[in-house]
Amino acid sequence: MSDWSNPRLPQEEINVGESRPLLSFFVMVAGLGALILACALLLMLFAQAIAAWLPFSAEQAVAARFFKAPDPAAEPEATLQKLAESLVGPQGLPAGMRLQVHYSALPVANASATVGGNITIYRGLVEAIDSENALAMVLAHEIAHIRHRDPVRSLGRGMALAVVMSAVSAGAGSAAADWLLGSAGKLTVLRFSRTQEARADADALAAVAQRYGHVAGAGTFFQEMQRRASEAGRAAESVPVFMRTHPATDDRLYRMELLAAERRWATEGPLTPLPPALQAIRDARGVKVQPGG
Amino acid sequence: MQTFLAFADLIVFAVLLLVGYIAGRIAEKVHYASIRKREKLFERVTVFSSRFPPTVSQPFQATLVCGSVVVSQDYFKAVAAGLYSIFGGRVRSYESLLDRARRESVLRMKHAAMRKGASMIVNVKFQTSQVPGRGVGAVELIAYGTALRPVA
Repeated sequence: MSDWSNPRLPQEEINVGESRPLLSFFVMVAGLGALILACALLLMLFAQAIAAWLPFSAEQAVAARFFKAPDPAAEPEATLQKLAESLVGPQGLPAGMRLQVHYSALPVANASATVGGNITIYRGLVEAIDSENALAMVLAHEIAHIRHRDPVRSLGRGMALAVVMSAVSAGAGSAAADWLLGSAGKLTVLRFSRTQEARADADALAAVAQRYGHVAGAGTFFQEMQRRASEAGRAAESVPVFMRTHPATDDRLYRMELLAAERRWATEGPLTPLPPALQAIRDARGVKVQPGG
Repeated sequence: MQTFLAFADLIVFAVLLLVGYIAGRIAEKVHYASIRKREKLFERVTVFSSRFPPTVSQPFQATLVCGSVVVSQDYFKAVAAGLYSIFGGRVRSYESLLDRARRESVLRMKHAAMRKGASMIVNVKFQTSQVPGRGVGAVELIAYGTALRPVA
């Protein structure tokens, strides 16, 4: 029986391969995260591409939850609406598309375009400009976004992200969707790409050139924002909101100049004063007219 | 607060993961220490998988002995195993779990044999079964064999 024995088991567990459980765990989590991210990006690109095929009425149905049609006689909405419609140009808007301009008394110097053809002009913007030409440039820019269906593309992209997030965490996904559908932000959080912004600028400048016969004063708002940003220096929180939602002002002004030169638009011309309804807002706030823009 | 609520499911998940990892590591360490100690203690009971004992000249009294153990995975091991099921490879998080179960079941079987006065177990076999139940990641491992007690 001496040849029948049980040797002592080795101390090292040869049947156990686990040496660094956390390391292999995090490697796998990182891999899974990368996969989810790739899926999210693909889905976002896809949603962005197909969103433009949504009928405009679907956009309006979404927007109806957040926007009330303003009283057609109320000022300054009526003035803004008239100006916007005059900037649409002879080719008009695609069939079924409608613009609705809103005015917000919030002090932010910004304007926004969102789904359903809704454009919001903020009080801060009116205070930062001194001619109708500058206002027209901003309005035409937002109209161009709507014409190209940029807001619904952006919304589609955001919703795709929310869907992927809800696959990871139900709570986070619905929170993202809520945030996106603007329970707080009224859909003004939509971001547009640099290409979309550049296209909107080019369209807007063309609309201004067509309306006034020259592009003088079109860049006033951008110049004013740039001036405020350089004044604010590096204090990020005091940089105008506009700069955070619309990047690279230098670049835009430069491209606007190039485009004007290329199309041979006059860069000098008489500025049209602000319509009375808007001038009244500036007067009420005691904004001094800045001579020479 | 709202942000906290939105991510409540992720936070619960992270807490369970952490608790599972820490508790699982402690439990495993303690269990291995105990296994090594008892393996030395029961060294003189020898186990073999052959059907017959080496020397048949001596009369033996044969009895069935068995040792069974049920071990559960922890949350961390379960999640890690889920990840392995996506990427493939050795399910390392379960290897140590089953190693512990196998060795524990042999120890219990040896204990049973010792109580019967046997010093040898032949024809040792293992069987494993999953403990049924929703969300229960437990496994039963049973080792059984024929304990031989020399008859004087």
